[in-house]
Amino acid sequence: MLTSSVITVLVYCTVSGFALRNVEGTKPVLQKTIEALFIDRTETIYPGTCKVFVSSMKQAKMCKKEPSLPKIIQNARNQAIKACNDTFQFDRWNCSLYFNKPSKSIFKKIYRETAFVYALMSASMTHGISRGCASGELARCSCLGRSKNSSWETKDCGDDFKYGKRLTKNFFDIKHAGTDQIGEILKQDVNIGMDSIGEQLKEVCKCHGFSGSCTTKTCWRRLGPFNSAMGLLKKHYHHAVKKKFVNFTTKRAITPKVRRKMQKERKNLVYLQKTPNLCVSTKGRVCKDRHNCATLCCGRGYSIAKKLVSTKCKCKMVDCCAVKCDTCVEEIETFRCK
Amino acid sequence: MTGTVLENLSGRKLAILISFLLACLVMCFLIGGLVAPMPANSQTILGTVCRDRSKVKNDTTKWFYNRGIGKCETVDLTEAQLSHDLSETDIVFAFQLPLPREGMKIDYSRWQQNLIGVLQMDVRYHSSMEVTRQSTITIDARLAYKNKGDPDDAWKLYTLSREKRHLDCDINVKIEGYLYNCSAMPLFELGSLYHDYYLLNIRLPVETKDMNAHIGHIEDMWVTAINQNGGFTKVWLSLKTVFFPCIVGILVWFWRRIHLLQRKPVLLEEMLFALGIALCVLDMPIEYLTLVFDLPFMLLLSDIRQGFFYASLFSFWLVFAGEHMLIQESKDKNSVRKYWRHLSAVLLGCVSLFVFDMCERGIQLRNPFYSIWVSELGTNLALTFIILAGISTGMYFLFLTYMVWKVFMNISHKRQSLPAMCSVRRLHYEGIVYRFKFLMLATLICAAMTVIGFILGQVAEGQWKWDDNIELQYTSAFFTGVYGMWNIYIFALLVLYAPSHKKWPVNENTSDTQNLSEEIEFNHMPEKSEISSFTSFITKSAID
Repeated sequence: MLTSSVITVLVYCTVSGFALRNVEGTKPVLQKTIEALFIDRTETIYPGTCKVFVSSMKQAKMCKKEPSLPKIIQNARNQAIKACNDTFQFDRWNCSLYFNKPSKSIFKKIYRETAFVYALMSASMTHGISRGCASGELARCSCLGRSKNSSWETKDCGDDFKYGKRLTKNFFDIKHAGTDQIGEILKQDVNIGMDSIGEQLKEVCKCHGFSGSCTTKTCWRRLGPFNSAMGLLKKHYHHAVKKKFVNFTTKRAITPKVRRKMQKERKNLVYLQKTPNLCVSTKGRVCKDRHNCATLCCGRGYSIAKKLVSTKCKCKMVDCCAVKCDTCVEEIETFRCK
Repeated sequence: MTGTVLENLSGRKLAILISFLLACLVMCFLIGGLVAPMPANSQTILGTVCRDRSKVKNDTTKWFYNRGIGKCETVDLTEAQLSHDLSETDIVFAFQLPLPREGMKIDYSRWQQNLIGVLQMDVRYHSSMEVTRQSTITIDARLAYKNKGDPDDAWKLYTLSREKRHLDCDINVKIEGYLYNCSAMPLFELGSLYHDYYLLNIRLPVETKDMNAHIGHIEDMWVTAINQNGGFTKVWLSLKTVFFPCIVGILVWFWRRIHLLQRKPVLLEEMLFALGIALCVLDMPIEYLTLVFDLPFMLLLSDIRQGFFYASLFSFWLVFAGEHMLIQESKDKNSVRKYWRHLSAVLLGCVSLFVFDMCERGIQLRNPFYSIWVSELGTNLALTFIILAGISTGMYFLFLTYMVWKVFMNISHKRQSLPAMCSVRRLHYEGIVYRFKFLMLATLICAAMTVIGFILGQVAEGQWKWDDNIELQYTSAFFTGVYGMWNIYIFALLVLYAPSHKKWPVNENTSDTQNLSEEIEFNHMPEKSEISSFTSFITKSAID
């Protein structure tokens, strides 16, 4: 009896140990990459060709083929984190890596914030790669014209966004993100992020026909600034949809019925887990105004301090590219949560 | 008495000819839609911000580029603070055309014909320093070229210029750090794409206090380079190569037919011949020369050739309507001088468009960065000429409609006298009226199809543009279709309006003895043209 129970326990331990290791080992590249990019905020250089993080084999190959890709990934990461910090400065979740205490990582489960980070990172990557193509930094951007085997003089090589999207998908290995619910959800969040860049594309046209008339007109799509895509992403963050949890551990394949339902909700960020209450961590945080403080401080109240702050003012344009300002001293009220 | 081929051709032959020509037309359309790629391609290039460390900034042998050996030192403008070691004059925006693709260093092909540059700016919003809605920007633009096999730094100066442009920016949400919505500015137009690589260096000089002072914080510059699609050029040139000998051949045949006659050619025949010549000029595939020689005037020349063709087509229509007015004022041969009032609208329109074109593309031969729209005077001048051309086109069409309406009125009026004639003659004349109407209809259909196609292209553009599933290249199909249509139209005119060899049916004289007098009357007018036997009929019936 005892031995049998011991054996059962042993077997159980080994199996679960294997299972755990198995789960750890097969964690999709998408999850690994995004977590690595979001968590590491230092300028550490890792071994391998991708430098910015510990890359998978396929990613290392991609970085080797395209030598300026690591630089672009790094810029994309910095851009994403900076934009995130700026936008969530006065929110309960201030783009931190964990909720309340360091053991509660935002990547532990799929929270609203996790979904947002996936969208943010993929948006920033797409943006960065499209820019890299346009500046000539990336040499392997392809012309996604309709004719495959014609020379470039007949192809349209203008749309860098399409390529940016494709390379981002390849780099994050979206294909192997998993067929279970988590995989599907993360894929959707990544797509939302990339599309938020697509929605910021502006069409510009030029007429160049007979005598400069519009008998011939050429249009192209121009990449928008990243911070306006950020505004869109924040809207997505607020309108994210919570999904019902479908058996997490067995990694059951998604039934066609669920897939159909998911297709309907393609336009929203999706997550699985409710965000814990973050009121504990907002103590001592700076808030914007009285209205913002009411929500941020969770009703605990706030202190008002008057401070003399020197700001830039009376700015003059010295040239195209830089502003020269005087320094003015102003009295500013600062609010801080109790 | 002979008539034109059109009058003497049997209905069956006419039907065969027309269906053959229609088949050709459909083929032209399909070639454009299925074989040809889109007419033009664009590539948007993000400027690399380079730092110029040299003391003297007007050295035209010093070039800044971002790829290859000797690439420039880059500056990040979002972080850069101008200090004593980085002055605003040290900043150069470099654009290396074309961009590398698929790991290859691609170069421009001469099949791509021309290059048009459009400049766009990313201006960041700062509450402390707002951009005025309409400001002027001064740019120092330098263009260099290089060919395959040259070393990476062997850029040679192509042209340089100091230009002013209107910067039109606005912003919806005024949030710090957001970008203004700035309109695109035309930058340059190269009529020939002779070299393999181009390099554009743009600086923003600050020599006077006001120069570039109100343009805000520029973060990025984008240049979109538009060039004709090489594949499209190939299809287009092949079409021209096919059409050119056909039109020349039919023109020779037409002229020989006329000279076989005992009389001198009449006005309508001369006009038709002139129209054929204009089409020949348009069809002449001289673009082949650009593959070997550097011909920057090709853009201007193609404008002039098209203008010449339109002018002769419009004049022809006027004369065509006028010659079938059915009122013969004199028995002398009509000359173009009779139509000087009618044709002055065409002439005025063409001359004003020509002047405008010379002012814009003509000056661009000397300075590719030139734009007439920048200076106040230039804008007014350009607008004057365009409005003048527009007014004369409007007047022309009003006048033409009036004339065509009058012809149709005359026809229906004169038709009342038809029952008084013998049956054979009546049928014959009715046939002529029918065929004239048919040709009028053909003209109208051609013109309507051109206009509808153009409007459809403009309207549908937005919906079709980014759809990968549609294989049909609508714009290319429109171009080749319209081009083929007018070629075929003129081809048909030349065939159908050539004098016929056939005599009038012999039985006419024998069977209709009661109408012998009419026949005599007909033959009394030997100086009258055979082509206008229709008009002679009208004159005759007027005498009746």
